[in-house]
Amino acid sequence: MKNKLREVLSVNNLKKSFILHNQNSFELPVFYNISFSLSKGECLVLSGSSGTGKSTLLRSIYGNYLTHLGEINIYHNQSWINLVGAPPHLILDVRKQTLGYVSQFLRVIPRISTLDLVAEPLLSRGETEVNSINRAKDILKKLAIPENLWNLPPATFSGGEQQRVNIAITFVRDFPILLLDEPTASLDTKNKQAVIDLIKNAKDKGTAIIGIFHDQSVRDSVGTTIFNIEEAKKAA
Amino acid sequence: MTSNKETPLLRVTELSHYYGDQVGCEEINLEVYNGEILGIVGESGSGKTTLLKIISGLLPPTQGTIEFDKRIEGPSDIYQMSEPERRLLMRTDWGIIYQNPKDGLRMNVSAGANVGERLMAVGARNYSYIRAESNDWLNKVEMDLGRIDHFPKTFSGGMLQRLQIARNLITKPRLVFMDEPTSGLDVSVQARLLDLVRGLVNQLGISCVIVSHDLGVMRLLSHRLMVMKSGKVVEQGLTDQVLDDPQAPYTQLLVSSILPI
Ligand SMILES: Nc1ncnc2c1ncn2[C@@H]1O[C@H](COP(=O)(O)OP(=O)(O)OP(=O)(O)O)[C@@H](O)[C@H]1O
Ligand SMILES: Nc1ncnc2c1ncn2[C@@H]1O[C@H](COP(=O)(O)OP(=O)(O)OP(=O)(O)O)[C@@H](O)[C@H]1O
Ligand SMILES: [Mg+2]
Ligand SMILES: [Mg+2]
Repeated sequence: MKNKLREVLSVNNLKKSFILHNQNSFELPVFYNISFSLSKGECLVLSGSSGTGKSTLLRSIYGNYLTHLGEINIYHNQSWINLVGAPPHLILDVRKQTLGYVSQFLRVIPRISTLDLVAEPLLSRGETEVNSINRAKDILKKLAIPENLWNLPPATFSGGEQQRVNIAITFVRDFPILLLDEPTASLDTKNKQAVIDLIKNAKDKGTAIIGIFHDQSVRDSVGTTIFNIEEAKKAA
Repeated sequence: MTSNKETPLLRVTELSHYYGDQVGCEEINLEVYNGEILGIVGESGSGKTTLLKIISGLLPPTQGTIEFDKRIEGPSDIYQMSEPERRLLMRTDWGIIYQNPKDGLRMNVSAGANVGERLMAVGARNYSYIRAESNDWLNKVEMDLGRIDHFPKTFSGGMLQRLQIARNLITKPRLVFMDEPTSGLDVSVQARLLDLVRGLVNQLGISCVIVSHDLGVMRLLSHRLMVMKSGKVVEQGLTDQVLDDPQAPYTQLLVSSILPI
């Protein structure tokens, strides 16, 4: 049984399809009738085979992909709002305060050092320079990014290092809700464990998470609920 | 903090402009909020410069209204106010960075004087204050202070753009318009200039409208993106959404015809 009071996100009858105008306006349906809810401290694992629309669902919730049908209700700034059809600056505000997203690949402004990239989100929400830098160092340490890399831009880093920088940029803040798209995909066992620890820690603090994890061991250690997109589509 | 009830800094309603029979831009609606960067992309001749000129007070439109949220009076139609009033806004609350630096700088006075001029235009008279502020801004845009007494005509393209930026930002405008600020510069200079713009915009909390044909630049700089074709807006939305899930046929073509960004 779910406790309604702890709910922070609720998706109702969500549909997403792509219309490919340059291919005779071919409509590619991805999913429809997707409904679930998410509570504080919960980690919902999205499952389904490759191409079923797991990443598309996360991106739709983040507003990176546009949806027209259904609802994405999110608890933001002490009230519930529907992100489907919300104006861009409201979505930006949600991304700043409520909803964090770790994409599969790092995409950042060139020329900026790793430490500055990780500290920037804190600075831009008004925290002091010292505080921001210290917290950035802290999270980089937890993710075992070698100290001699901190002052370099991540462009030349290995795939696993870039992925951990990506995780650091999001986890340095305390978002109430996190969307994680295969955050451990290119990591070795030791670094995977560091990420698992971060996720567990966030859950304990009440963070609600929706994640895609291919790795069964990661699912087992952080997941609380499983949502299978294929089954949801069949049931619809 | 932005919320959906906040008054936009700039609001453009049903704007159209015709050069005789020629469409400049048509039926444009847009809003710019505090601290936000709006990017405008579109093919050559799609009306980007026309739109930017109109909303920055340089070209009265054939139709439509442009309201700017003035500090005291609140939203005011910029073409209904008196000419001196509009000129004052252009010198204080607005900044304009031209594609061609020669349009935005005075080529026959020194770099320092170019930067100090806007301060004097808003009433600063103390010479040492003006000099100190100018130096400070030349520093911020990473200009060599040894060049402060040189004429702009001896500067490189990247230096000229940085000088334009210093000249504009010294009066702490609330809204800055930029038309292709990095075109004609080589790639590494472009990247540095964009970092600089981004950093300053973040620090000062100013809003920006930037025209560029470079989608990579837009992804990194702008919060929202507007796509124009044949004078009309075909699509606007969050920058990453417009680039990753474009809705209009033209945007899909535009995004698919470039290398991954
Ligand atoms: N921007 C896009 N434009 C058009 N089609 C897209 C776009 N993004 C995803 N798709 C399509 O949507 C479908 C679902 O893709 P998605 O990436 O969500 O799958 P997934 O479940 O995350 O798969 P995987 O496990 O392989 O990562 C695929 O057919 C994909 O080609
Ligand atoms: N002063 C003018 N007189 C007549 N027509 C003009 C004038 N200025 C622009 N136009 C026309 O208006 C249309 C829009 O021009 P505009 O300069 O706004 O395009 P743009 O999108 O800025 O293009 P570019 O990317 O090449 O700079 C074009 O067809 C252009 O030829
Ligand atoms: Mg995926
Ligand atoms: Mg132009």
